[in-house]
Amino acid sequence: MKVPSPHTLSDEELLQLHRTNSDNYWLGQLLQRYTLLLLGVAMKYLKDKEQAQDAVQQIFLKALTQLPAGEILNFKGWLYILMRNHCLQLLRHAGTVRADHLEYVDSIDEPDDIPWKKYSVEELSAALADLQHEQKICIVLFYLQQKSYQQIMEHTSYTFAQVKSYIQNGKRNLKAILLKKHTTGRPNE
Amino acid sequence: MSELNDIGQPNQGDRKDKLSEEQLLAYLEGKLSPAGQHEVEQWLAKEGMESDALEGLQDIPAAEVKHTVGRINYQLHNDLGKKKRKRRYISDNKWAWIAIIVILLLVVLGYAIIRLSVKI
Repeated sequence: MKVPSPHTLSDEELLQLHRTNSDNYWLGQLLQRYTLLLLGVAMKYLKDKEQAQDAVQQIFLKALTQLPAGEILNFKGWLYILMRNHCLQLLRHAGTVRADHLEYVDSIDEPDDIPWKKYSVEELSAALADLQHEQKICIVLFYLQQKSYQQIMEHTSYTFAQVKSYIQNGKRNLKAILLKKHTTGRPNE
Repeated sequence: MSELNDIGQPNQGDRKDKLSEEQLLAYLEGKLSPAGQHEVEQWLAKEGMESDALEGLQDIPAAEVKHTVGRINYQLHNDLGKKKRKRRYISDNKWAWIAIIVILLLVVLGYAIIRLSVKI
């Protein structure tokens, strides 16, 4: 029988092959797809390259030895949560953050679930005007003028983290403003 | 202002479901055009694995990222190799068992022949 190339298979297919053949080769191929992303997630939390590298290896070991017997509908999401919680646990053990400040996650939010197209340009303009100045600037530059983060940083002298935060929070606030206006019967109309 | 409707929407024609490793590495190494950077940064504007990863990877010098990923993957394959070798030892030992049984049979047979020849 011809052995399929791992590169042509989806996450679900690789997981299925691992399970039906009890062969860790397929799980290894699947995990390898996410090494870079996992390293980045670990770096975000741990801020240390060596620790982040160790954390990724520990997550791989966990996945190889403790893969749930039940179906995993979203392998990437499962791995992301595993990594985040592992990092938070490491930080708690290190005493870097207080235990009650830790936010363990057991599911991932569905991003961009707002039906943007259902709002008119006027509604979006009004909501945009309600945003904080920094958020509005970053949203306009990023989405309307299609600027890169580097260009926004040069334009505003904000740091990379600030630009990211203003865009993410601005988008979230925009969503909240739009939903509020919709549920309160469109007071501006 | 019609672009307002595009907030949170993919750029037509250039958005993919997955952020590829090549694209991410090229971004970190500064090899992408502003348009290419903007495409990758669409992931930053979301909340999720790619966004966290992109933020975290900014703290590793771009030249080291590939090397570190290679080292982790090498270790992963080493670990898998060890498991495989261990499993092969257990699964393939049927030949060892057959050899042991054959040797035992030969010993018993030899012993029986010797006993018989002594009696005669």
